[in-house]
Amino acid sequence: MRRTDYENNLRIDEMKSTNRSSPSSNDSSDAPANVTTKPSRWITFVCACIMGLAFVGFLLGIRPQSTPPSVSKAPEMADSTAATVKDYRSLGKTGASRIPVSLISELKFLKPDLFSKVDRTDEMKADALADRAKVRAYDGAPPMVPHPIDQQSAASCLACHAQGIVIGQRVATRISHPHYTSCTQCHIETSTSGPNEPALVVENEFAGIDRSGPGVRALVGSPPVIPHTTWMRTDCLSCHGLVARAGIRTTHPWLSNCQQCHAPSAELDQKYASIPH
Amino acid sequence: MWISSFVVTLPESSEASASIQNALAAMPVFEVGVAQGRRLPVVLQADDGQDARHWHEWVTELPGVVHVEVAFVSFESESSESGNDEFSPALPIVASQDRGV
Amino acid sequence: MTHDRRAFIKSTAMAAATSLAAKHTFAADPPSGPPVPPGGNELPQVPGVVWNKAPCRFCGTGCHVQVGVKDGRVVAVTGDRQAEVNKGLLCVKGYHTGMILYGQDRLRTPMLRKNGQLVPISWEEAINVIAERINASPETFAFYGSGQWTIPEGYAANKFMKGGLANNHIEPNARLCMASAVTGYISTYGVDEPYNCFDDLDHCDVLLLWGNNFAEMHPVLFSRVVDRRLRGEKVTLIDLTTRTTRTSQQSDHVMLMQPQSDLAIANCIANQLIERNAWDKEFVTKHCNFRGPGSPQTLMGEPISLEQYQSSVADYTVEKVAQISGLSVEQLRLLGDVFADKNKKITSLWCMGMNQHTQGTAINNLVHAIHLLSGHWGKIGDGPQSLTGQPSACGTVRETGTLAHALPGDLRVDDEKGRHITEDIWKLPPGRINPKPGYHTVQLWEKFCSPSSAEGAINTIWVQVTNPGQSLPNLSKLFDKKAELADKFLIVSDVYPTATTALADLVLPSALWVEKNGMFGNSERRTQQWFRMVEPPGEARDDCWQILAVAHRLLELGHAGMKDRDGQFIFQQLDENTQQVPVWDWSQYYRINVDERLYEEYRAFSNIKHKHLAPYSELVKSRGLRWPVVEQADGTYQETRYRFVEGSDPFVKPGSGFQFYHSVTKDDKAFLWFRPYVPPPEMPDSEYPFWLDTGRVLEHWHTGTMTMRVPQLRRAMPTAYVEINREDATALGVRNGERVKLTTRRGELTLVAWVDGRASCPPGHVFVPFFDEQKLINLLTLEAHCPFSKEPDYKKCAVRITKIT
Repeated sequence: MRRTDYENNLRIDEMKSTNRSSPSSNDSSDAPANVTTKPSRWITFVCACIMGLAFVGFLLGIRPQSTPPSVSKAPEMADSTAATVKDYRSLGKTGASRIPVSLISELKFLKPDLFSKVDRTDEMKADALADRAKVRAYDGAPPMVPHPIDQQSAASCLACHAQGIVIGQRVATRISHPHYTSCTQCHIETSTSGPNEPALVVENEFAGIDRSGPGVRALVGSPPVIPHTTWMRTDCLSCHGLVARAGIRTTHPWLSNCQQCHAPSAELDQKYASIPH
Repeated sequence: MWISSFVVTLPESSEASASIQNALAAMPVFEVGVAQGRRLPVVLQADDGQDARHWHEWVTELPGVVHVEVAFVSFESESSESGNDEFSPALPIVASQDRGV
Repeated sequence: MTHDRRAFIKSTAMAAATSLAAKHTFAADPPSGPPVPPGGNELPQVPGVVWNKAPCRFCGTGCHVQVGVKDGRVVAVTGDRQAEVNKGLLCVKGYHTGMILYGQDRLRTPMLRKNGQLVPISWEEAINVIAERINASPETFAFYGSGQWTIPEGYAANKFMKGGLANNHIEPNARLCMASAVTGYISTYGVDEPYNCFDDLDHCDVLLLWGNNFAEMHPVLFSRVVDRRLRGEKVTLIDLTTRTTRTSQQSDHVMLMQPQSDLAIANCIANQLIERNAWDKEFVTKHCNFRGPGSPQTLMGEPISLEQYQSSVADYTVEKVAQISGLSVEQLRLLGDVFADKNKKITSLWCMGMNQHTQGTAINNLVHAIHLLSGHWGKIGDGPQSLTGQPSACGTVRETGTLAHALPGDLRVDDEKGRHITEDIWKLPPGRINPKPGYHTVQLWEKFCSPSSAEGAINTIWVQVTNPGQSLPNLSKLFDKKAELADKFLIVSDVYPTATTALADLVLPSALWVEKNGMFGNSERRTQQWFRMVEPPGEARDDCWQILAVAHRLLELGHAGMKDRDGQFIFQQLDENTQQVPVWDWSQYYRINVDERLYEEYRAFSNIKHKHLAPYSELVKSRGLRWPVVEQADGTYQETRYRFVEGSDPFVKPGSGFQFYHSVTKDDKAFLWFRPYVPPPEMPDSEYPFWLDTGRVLEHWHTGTMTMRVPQLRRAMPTAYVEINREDATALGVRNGERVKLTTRRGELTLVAWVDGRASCPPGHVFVPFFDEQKLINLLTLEAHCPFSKEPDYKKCAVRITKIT
């Protein structure tokens, strides 16, 4: 059995600060020296995820006969670039042992409750949509995975994505379609966690369809129609529920029968008469 | 303390299904939930990773169990993580350009 | 941890599990019919976007996609809900397949090498250069095509060569890919191609993978199996493999075997069935003849008795095979138990692991044999089935016969009757077709890379839809030598610059996928059709048009072979007023549907060996149909899921149960083979102590010319690497991410080491993917090939690894 951990490859400088309190937000002074930016709670959170993933990988890992667990003499890793956080091992050496380990369960606890106030501005919405578009080649393409994944046990995805997790401003949404078993069939990493030498790089001029929204309202104040197809999106709460990007969260999560008020758009309805040729 | 939960897919036969539920209930490390059709939620409280792995395998190998899916993982100990050295070295990674999910 | 805290976590855990359990309430009901894809069965409607069907451009699975086109460009791709193969889902390559059209460096104009530089020329000049070169020396010309040729393209190329030039030097890259499966089928059942279909994946109890990383190579089919578990079905995966992969991760039993020992393992299963008296005597007596290899081994071997068969496999005891294979005695017994169990339905699957093998035909024979012997044959979910890696290795190469010895419809050039039938359908004068098979792929490139003065040398090769400069084995010998031979001429039709165009003398820009009409045939005998949806870029044109244009130019130059026995152009097409349509003129090419014309002409061949193809018009309406497709009394067409099986195959005699009506021995029986374990030609030694295995990864398709131009796929897997065991890395002092040099007797290559990455090799083995054109692992591989299929073994040779200091 092998455990694989990941380096934290989050571009911390891209992170927006969060106004949500975090159980480890006062640990930033423990950040390893080579981390270029300060919020070590990211590291903590990510470590929690890493360990969770490692554990699931561990549970689901390959059978004992397949891999000898000789890890103690493991070669040291090569130095990483300055822009990245080092791996979990080096984190341990630079004081991570004093960081209380945050838990996936704790992260879930951060989830707003059903009746907490939802702030939503047009800007937040635009951010959320842009954020969503960033990991898709076109509207309808399976989203890419914006973090390293366990190369060997895709099933660990469920640890975060079965329920969804909010980690500061980052959201791991829950799966919007019925579960399948082989996540990496469709979802691959945005950048490799493996070897990454300079490769053949050719620009691509593909311009995919964008999202088809926004949804129209019959009258001011009436509920908008569903502004997109519901193609591979059978769980509205995946994007619009409590654990979702702030800008597109529903303001009324306690109402669970979405389609009671939000009708599919007439233009976008799913009727498709025949296959033309 | 390692707390995790699984969904155990039970066999079609109600007899075999009952014997799996009984076997789980007999083990104090498990807390058995209410089955949804043939899918049974189970919480496991294990001492450590080794132990968790052992029990996970134990469930998988119960006669008649069709499938075990992991639903939730919590991984926590009072002391600092002692197993750091067990983690394999990772590769240098070029920072991801993207965020969001 | 406090008690409260623990209780809190436990309740959270229970809530998570309960809600996950509830997500699958359908599991409570027995599975009935295929699951409805998420989002329902209808296509998304997006303003301005027109959807149309096409098979995916990549592998042999043959998923159907719906291609969304807006303003003349592909803007989206979705899984086709009506496609039986993929049931609305795709893999990550499939979802991004629309982007392969739009790499910035698409070839847009013909280019001729002048003073070492490729310079743009007109199409007219390009066609002229080819035709004059062929006309000057037709017998030293060769065509090298592909399992990505559409059916009409392959058919046209084959007719052009064998019917027009009387030259059999036409080969496909599929020789490197599934030739061993072909010889395996022919020498077992007397006729090529899987008798069964993907429906097996929905019904098997045990899935046995023979050296096949199913999860990454055929992801859609893989999930078709493993998703059954979510519906509460029990399916046991056994991964017989030389390295642990993502497939192993989802398998119930991972059996790590030594390379080449699959032969011994199969014989060991047979031996156990005999020893335990668990073989299916009734099935074998009624439907099989025992067959031995002969000495030396031949493709069709010799008849042997049951006693001879028993004594041959008796050598393969579990103890002895445990030694050869590295499997434990228990694992071998487990395999014996599986096959001895009549109540379980077993599907065996294989792809390159068994085909790219110096004993490729033999191992194919043996896997068929253990299924026949145990009676695990011919029921839904219960039988052996080969997979293919290209979209039309079956439809084009195997069915239209673009191999050096073959003619369409499973006929052969060295068979007089086959030549006569072909000459008749092609309206050629008798004796036009050359009875001598041409060079197989390895020979062909050897002859091209030999001086022109050498006997039988090939001077000109036209390559279409493939990249031999990257995919041939032992590249320095079989490809790179061309650079030193000034009078050799390489013509390449492609869509992007490749390792092959790098040495080309003439480069022709081709239309790609939905930029042209096309037809493919997938791994389960399913013939598929699509229409052109967008214009090709620049001056790029259809491969099929290129062939017709060269043929017509040769006619103008007076080449007699371009005329049929009535003096007409061999590719003559008439319009509704019986006027000739000048299809060699690009501006007229789409005036008629050339694909339909060529396909309907070719369809006459398909009835010869009961491979009846559906009419074009039926394929237009369907998501592919599995041949034989037979017209019913009411005028409808019925596809066939299982050949040779009564009730499914209309050609089986009623009351016979099973009938191998193309049996080699003409007694309706299949061959049940014994073939011995033969050690591989090159094994690790003190000088080259590691095994080198090569193959593919999820994100990239074959040589990566298309997928490396999709940023999403490239970023996820940008570069080739060497997968090496942690123990070996430690011993060599190599850290993860460091560079090492791989050296074989044929070449060397520097790569980054990846330890405990996506997959892992056992100690003593390394793996390198071949998609990266900047790191050509085929400089190192061995060109040794199966004596019957002529397919090289890319999976095993000896390599030395040194740390770069």
